[in-house]
Amino acid sequence: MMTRNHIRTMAAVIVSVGALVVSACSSSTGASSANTSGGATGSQQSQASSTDTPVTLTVWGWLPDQASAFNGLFAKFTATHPNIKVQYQGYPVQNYQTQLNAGLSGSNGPDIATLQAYGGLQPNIDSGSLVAITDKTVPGISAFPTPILDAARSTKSGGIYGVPYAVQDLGVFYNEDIFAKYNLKAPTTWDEFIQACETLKKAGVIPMSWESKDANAQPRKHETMGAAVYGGPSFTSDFLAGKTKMTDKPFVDSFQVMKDIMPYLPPDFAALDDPGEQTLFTSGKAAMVTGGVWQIDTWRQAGVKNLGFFPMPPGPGAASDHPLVTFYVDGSFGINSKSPHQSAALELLNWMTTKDFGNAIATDVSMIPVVPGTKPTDPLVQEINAIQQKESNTFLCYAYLNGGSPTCSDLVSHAVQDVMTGGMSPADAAASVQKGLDQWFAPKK
Amino acid sequence: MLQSTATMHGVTTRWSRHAWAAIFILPAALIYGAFIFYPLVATVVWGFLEWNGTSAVSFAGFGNFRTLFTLYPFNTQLFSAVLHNIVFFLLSIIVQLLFGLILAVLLRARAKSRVFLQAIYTLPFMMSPIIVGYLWNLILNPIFGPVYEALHATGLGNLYAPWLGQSSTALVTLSLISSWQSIGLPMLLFYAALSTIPSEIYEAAKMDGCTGLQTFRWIILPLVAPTAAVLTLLTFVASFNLFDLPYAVGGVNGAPNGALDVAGLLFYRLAFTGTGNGLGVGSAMATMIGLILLAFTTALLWYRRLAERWV
Repeated sequence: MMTRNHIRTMAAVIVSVGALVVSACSSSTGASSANTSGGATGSQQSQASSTDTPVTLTVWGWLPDQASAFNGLFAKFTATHPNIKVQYQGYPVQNYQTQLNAGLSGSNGPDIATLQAYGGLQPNIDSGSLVAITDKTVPGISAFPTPILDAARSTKSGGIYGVPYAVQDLGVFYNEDIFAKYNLKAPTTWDEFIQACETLKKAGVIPMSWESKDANAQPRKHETMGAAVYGGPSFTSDFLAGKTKMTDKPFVDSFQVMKDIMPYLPPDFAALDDPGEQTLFTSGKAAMVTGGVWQIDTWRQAGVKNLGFFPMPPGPGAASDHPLVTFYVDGSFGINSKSPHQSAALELLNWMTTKDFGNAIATDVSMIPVVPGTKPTDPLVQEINAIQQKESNTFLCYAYLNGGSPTCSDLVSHAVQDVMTGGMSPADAAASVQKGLDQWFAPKK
Repeated sequence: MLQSTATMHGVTTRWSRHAWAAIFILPAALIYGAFIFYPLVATVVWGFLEWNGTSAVSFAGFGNFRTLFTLYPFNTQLFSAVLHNIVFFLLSIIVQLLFGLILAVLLRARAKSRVFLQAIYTLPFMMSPIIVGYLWNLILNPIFGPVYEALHATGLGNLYAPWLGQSSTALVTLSLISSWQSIGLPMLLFYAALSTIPSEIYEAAKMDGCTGLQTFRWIILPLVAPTAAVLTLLTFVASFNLFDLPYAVGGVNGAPNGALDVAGLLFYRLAFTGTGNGLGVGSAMATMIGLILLAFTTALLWYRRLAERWV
């Protein structure tokens, strides 16, 4: 027979297990009820935040290494908005989007999220996770150029969902000391480029470091080498209007250039990965490397004392007669629609359109700010961005053709690898990109 | 009166035993439910929904499966990826069964250094495949890797090839790296199986005039066959869940030229790097991989039952 002690013990176990379950449930329902009320009482909370009640906003981003730099940047906002503290939480870039999607759909998301640019943020807009901003709620955005705002625009409604904060410029970086040793100058024409490569190769220096494994890097390499060949902005507007195709000569030639440079890349570069490419360049075994302005600090710290930059000269048969610098908006900051601190978040977004924020982006996190009237601080970055503003090309795939499945970046990434390591012809590579896009992309005629 | 008390006593004891069992099972059941059963069911359900980012918008029927088999370039990548999984499995199982058994037999002969050798061979198994992948990328690096340097220093430079950079050799190299990493497990399992064979059986076989080969065929093989079957099953599941090693070695596209593209990488590209309905198509893909695994394991278990009759 069951004794009283047994019953008591069993009851205790049941109660404690039950308590665990109830507390787990109540914490989630508690959070969700806070969320559902968040939207409705946003204005009340905002009044509280701008008057008495201190609020801490969490900002998520993909730069964990720069978390303290971002916190320093946001401290400048708190200095003028004492009731709003801002906490930056960085997650590794590889997992960031997955983490963010989970955060935005659940109850533990940030108040403000760093959003991927262009196609990357469309799923978050479509799922209703972000608050639309207008020139009424954030008046400062009306001063931003349209190509910059495009990075935070819904491709469906045309509405803006974030404040862009920085751009990245792409091009060829070189070791000035190696160039000086062999009396070389930054090439301005294709022939000068090939001559420089020949000179370096004869001297036993790998002309250009390269890798073929990082899927994300391949479309950037294609833009760097091929933008002037396919024609940059003029091709982009024609393509988006349905007047030209990837299978037309300019885009096919942009893949041919990738083949043309192969004699000047590291032997067996197909077996190299990104760390391998970086090591070859920073150790002085290779004279040039393709990349973006965000890598400058890393290269300098790894030992390239004198770093130079040139935009890739137009290759054979190029549609553009001058080099182009491809740029793209790095991302934007947008408000989680479930955030209970809507109005405080809006205050922060408004601050992000001021010169104070633009200058802080340049000084604190060493990026190229997009707030009109602000500029980067590093002389080399200033030089690159000055060229970009004259001979600018928006990253075609990333900016305009990643909004459907398969994405242009995915198709180009495979195409570059197939051409350079699989022996595919440039015409077939271009055809593969067009075939993939034809399944969802409709030009605006 | 006495009888009815006894019956009641029996009932309550049984009830209390069941209740206690339920209470003790509950925590494990909760954890299993939350982390194994729920994701499993959710994945199957998600594969039949149309997604918009992270929210399900409608029922899609078999739409996501249709997308998987018709949308270029995923339709072509799907077949090459699954084929790579199968090739990877076949290569891995041959190497692991063969060398696992050889190492186990050799270990039995080394009484003194056995524990040390066991630890050494099992060590790579403890490492994350991501680390193993990066390590081998460095070791086989065509410019500053130690293998390249060593072969050139000894005048054997023309033996070197960028094994992880050629489409023709990348998958074989990857499966060898994986086998190198996990050889400790088959070795330990085979060793345990061999240890269960009493020495009397060997002696009896010897007295009956069995040759070494006959001993292997009629004594060792039948007794290690169940272990080999378990290993085949484990290797098959691992081969189809392959993600981190090819990711570390060849990136998310399975470079070079898609030679290392496997179902796990394609699933990742579909679910997390695509747009819009990625989660739906990705879940459909995951469901399909799950069905392949289920079919194979069922077939293998059924075959094993058959095989036990004749081995």
